[in-house]
Amino acid sequence: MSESHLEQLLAKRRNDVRQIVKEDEPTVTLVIFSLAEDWFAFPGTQIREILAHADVFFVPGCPSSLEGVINVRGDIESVFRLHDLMQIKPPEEEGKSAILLARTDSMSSGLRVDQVMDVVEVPRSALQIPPAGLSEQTGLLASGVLRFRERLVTVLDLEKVFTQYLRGMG
Amino acid sequence: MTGCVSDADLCREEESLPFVVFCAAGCRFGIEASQIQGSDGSVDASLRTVESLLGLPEDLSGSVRQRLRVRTPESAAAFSVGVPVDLCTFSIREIFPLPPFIAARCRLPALLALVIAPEGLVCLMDVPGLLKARQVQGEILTCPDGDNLSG
Repeated sequence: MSESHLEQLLAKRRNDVRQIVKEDEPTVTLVIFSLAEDWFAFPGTQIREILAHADVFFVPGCPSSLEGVINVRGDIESVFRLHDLMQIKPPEEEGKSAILLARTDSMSSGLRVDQVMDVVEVPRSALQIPPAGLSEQTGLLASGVLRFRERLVTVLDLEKVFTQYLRGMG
Repeated sequence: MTGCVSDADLCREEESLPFVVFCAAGCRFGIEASQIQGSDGSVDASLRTVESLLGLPEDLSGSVRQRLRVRTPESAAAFSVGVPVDLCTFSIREIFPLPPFIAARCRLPALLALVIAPEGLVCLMDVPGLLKARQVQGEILTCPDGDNLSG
C-alpha cells in the first residue's frame, strides 16, 4: 500500500527536522556579568540561580572577600566576592550587585558580582581560546573568551575559581 | 542566664540540642549546654575574655560581661563573655555544617557549625577545640577556680 499524502508530508517534515538538528551548531548558555569595567561569564549549567537580593550573615574570622552565608530555602551557602580573586577593586556601594549561586560536581557557593548583564545562548564556535594578553590572574582562571556587545567577555572556569579560592587566593 | 526557645519547640526533644548563646565582638556564639558548668557575674580584669580565645578584637568598653564556666572531659576553665547569655534550643534542622569555603578560610578556632536564628547568625563552637587551640600556641589556661588546663 502506498503512503498517503499526509504520511509523505509527515515523513518529509521528520526529515526536515533531522536536517535542522544535524545542521544546528552546538550552543552554550552563558551568564554574563560585570566586575567593575570588565565582563566575565560562567556557563549557565553551573549557575543554579541568580539572587538580586539576599541577606548575607557575616561570619567572624573570615577574610573580607568572604562575605558570609545566606539562607537559600532552608539551606545555607557561603558567599564570596569574585573581585578579590580577580584582583579587581570592589565597588563602594552594592548598586545592582547580585549573587550567582554556582555549583560544580563537588562544591557550591554564592559569588558576588557587580551586575548581571545578560543570559545568552551562543554558538560554541564563538568561544575562542584565551588570548595571551589577559592578566596573569585572569589567564589562570579563564577557559575562553568571546565578543559580546562589542566587548571582550572572559569565560571563567568555575572549578579553577573554587580551587583557587579554597587555596587561599583572593 | 535568660531563656529563649526557637522553632525547636515544635520538634521532638531528641531532635534538638540546647546551647548557651552569648555575644563576642558583636557576633553571637553558642556552646553546647552540656559543656557549660554555669554562668555568673564574677568578672574581674584577670579573667580571660572569649574574644582572646577566638582571636577576635576586644572592645569591652562599657559592655556588661558575665563569667562562663566550661568543662571538658579532662578539665575546666572560665572566661568572660558579653551579654545577653541565653539558653537556646536549636532543632537539628536549624544546625548547618560549615560550607566548604567557610571551613577552609575562616580562622576561628573550633568553629563547628552555624545556625541562622531569627535574631541572626549563631556560630557554634567546640570547647575542647577552643581551649586546645590556645594550648597549641603554648599557653596554659588556668581556671580562676584553680584548675589548670593541661589536657
